[in-house]
Amino acid sequence: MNRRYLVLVERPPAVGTLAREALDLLLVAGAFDLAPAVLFLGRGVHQLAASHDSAPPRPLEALATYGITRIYVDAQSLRREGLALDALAPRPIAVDGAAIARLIAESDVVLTT
Amino acid sequence: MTVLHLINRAPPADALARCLASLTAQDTVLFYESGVLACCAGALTSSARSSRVRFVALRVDVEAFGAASRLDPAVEIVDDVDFVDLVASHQPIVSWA
Amino acid sequence: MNIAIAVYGAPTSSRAPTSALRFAQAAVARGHTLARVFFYYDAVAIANALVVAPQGEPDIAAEWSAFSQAHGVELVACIAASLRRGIVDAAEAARYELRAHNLREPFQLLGLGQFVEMAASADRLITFLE
Repeated sequence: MNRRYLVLVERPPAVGTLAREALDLLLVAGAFDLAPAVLFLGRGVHQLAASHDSAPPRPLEALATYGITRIYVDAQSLRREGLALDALAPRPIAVDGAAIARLIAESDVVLTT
Repeated sequence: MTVLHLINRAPPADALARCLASLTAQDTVLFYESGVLACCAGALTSSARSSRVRFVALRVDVEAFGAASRLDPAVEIVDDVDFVDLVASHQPIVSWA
Repeated sequence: MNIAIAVYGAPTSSRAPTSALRFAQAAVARGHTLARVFFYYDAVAIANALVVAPQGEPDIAAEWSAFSQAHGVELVACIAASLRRGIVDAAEAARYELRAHNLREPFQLLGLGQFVEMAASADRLITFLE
């Protein structure tokens, strides 16, 4: 079955264990070969804000190894949260509402983390 | 297939704003739990109301919140079985946080 | 159709387990199958057998157990999320040398892989957020 999966990440980092658990679900979806697209939105965009002194390494560094290469970020959330696209890693594609609507409509399953 | 959007929270949660920005004609938005307060009169923009999107609210929660008389006129009240039928007739189902 | 249900909200701070159960009951009454219901994040609290619902208050955990047994629906709590929150079965209690185990019947502890498999194999996935 070649279904198309989209994972939504709206949880900000550092909220107890919830942020880690959200990323675990995203990575397991990748590990199970769902090849999901992932969209960071709301305060979840902060997950992509690179932190150079993070130890252990941020789980998001592993996205490519889990087959997750289509990484999107909600442009409006970026503006709201005051983040610049080039400050984000891994580097996402910024999308507006219409593009998000298309991403969703083209997906068979949307997994909210 | 058309998308079923689920909203279970009211402002100041931003779920509704994000959802409304990402709708396609013929989609359905279902409000439940405290989300029924997010679709009270005046909450839906005129562009949302004139889009070909169906807005519905779950009866059990409309009654729990006493919201029946306050809903935006564009919102229909639906029962649990309708919720199930909407899930069966839409894909995917997006829970907005 | 085969519907997968995920529940993220805990009974004490969210209506998610109640809304999900109403949906599950309606889905079964409508003739659909629910292979599995997967509880994640704080929702795993529902699998804690040591929770006592006060007299006169609804016992959503007991309602889920009864529904599961009546309709053969698997109830799963994420094992990692459960361990983090002090919900353990006999096997995990032995593994970690804990003094007790408290998993409510008929819940099982399984990994996130089982959540993903459920989402991948069902016709529909619906998530009840906190």
